[in-house]
Amino acid sequence: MKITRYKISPLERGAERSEGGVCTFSFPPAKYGGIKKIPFIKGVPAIGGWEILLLVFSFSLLTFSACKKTDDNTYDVNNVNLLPPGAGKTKQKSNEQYVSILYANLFQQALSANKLFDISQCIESIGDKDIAREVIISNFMNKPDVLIPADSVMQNNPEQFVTDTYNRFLVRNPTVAEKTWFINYINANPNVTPELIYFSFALSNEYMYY
Amino acid sequence: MKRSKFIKTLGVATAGAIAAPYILPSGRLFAASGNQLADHVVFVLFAGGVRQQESVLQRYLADSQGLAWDGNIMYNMLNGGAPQNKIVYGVDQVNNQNVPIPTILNQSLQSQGTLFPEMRCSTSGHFAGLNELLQGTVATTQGLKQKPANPTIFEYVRKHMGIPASKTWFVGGGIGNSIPLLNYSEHPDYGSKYGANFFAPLVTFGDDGQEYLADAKVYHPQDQLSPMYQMKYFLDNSFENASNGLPNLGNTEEEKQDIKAFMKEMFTKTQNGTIAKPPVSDNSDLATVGYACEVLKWFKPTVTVVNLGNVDGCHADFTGYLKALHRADHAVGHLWNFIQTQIPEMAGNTVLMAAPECGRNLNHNPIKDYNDWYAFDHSDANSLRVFGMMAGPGIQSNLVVGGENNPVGEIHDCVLTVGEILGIKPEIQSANLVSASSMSLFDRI
Repeated sequence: MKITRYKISPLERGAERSEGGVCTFSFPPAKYGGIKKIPFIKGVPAIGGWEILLLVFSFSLLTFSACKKTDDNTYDVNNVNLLPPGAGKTKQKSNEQYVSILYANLFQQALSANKLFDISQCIESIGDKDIAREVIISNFMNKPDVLIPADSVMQNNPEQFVTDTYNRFLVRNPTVAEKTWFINYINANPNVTPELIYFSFALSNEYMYY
Repeated sequence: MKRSKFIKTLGVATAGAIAAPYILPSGRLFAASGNQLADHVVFVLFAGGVRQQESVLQRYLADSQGLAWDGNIMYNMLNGGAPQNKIVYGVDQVNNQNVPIPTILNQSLQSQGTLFPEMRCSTSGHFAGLNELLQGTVATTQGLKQKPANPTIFEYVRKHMGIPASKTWFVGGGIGNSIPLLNYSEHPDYGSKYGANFFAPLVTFGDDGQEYLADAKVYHPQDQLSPMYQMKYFLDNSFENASNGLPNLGNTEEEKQDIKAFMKEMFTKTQNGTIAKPPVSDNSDLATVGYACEVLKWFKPTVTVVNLGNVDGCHADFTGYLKALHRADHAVGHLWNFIQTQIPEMAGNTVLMAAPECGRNLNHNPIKDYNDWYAFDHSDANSLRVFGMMAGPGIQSNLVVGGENNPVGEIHDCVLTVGEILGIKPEIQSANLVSASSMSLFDRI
């Protein structure tokens, strides 16, 4: 867009611009009797009357020609609860489920129906289920055919051991944080054995759910 | 600070600490009321549906089989002479004689305490009756395989006295009939965190327990158990789901170790045959009481509830019922004697209570046993008739309240009665969860 700039006498402009406040200019030129006053900000170049009219006209044209009724779409972000892994496990295992899965995890074979019934009865007979589970796990750990990796397997590749243990007991991969914590814990505690780690997984709350 | 001022300040602070009320784990302020009658209560749920006729009325065969023989076959609990003929309830001898079990107590519990010979229960079923005894409510909507809806006496005691889990015990004869569910309720203000420890000793320490629990590996507490628990807690902290969480009785790690040590001891004693069973222990109620004695001796609980149930054989075997009733009396006599003679911390400081959860029918069913005697179920008005008794410090001795034509007391009164013995009756009442008609038996006298 071409803007025609009318020449304003330097005297008419310069005299008052240096003061700030109101700039007096002539349009049409003073000799034709036109005198206008517009406010200006000190340091901002003054513009002429035609320029203002043109700008107002252009703005109005753009404004009114651009007016178009549209749907009022509002875009937002949904709240999402971030939960740790395993949060989807909401169903608690029954005593029978717990025992049969525990037996399969520790012995890599299925528990017979008779043994399953008997062990479930034992759990039922003890009020504090944490104690019942601890005692049953520690009994299993005393059996000669329990399948637990050797200590050297864990020490040689703790990362793989931790991943395998999560997969075996919790049926998921560990997060980076979980893996790091366990590796650090294994490295920092020489008393920690695969048996104790298996014990802790079998006793964990997550293991009680599926 | 001058020495004299320091001593004075220290003295004032010490006196204040002793005298001031203390904050319970539940967060409420509790001031000792000072009206506690005893430090321990042993409550026997007696013993699987007992007819008034053969128990407190001492009618033996007279009101059941049309035979003219009456007498008292519960002479540890009740005053009265034993039957003189047709003895079937004792121990069979090799010469085909049946000999009654000798009495254990020199003085019957009735003489030592207060008897309510004619109480009422609200239903004629076992589980509802047990719930009524333990919740203090008329549990008309309590279904089988459901945890109690309202708090049990264990929860009241733990919450309002601030005692740990290992000081409340429920010893059940078995795991049938939803018995293991009775150690705590599902009430949101109470629940598992105030629940009692539970054993069904004939399972826990029986054949199954010997095979699957007795061979527990012993781990070093610091070197092995401590890191194991640390890893478990890490896993638990990483786990969060939408469920309500696992029920937890709130046994501390020390209490858990203590309970496991107790279990180890029981397995050894069971194998050696040295469980503190009664002199005659030829049925499961007597064995249960033996283990209950061991629990009392080891933990010295504030509240112990012992459930006996062999009497329920009366559905099909009246002779067996008489034997079971006689043995239940023997069991209670042994329990009381054991407390007084083998547990110094509880002797003279324990109240024993006993009440059946329901009675039995007036009329027999068609089933006959080997003596040609009819059996009895429980479903009519007669099965709502029961008795109750208590003995110990603060209990008036040799007192009988009510009679056959003057019923006094309901079995749901037992919760407030235990509360009064332990000094928490106002707290139980203010919880407003016991039956509106419920009163302490002391208030019925």
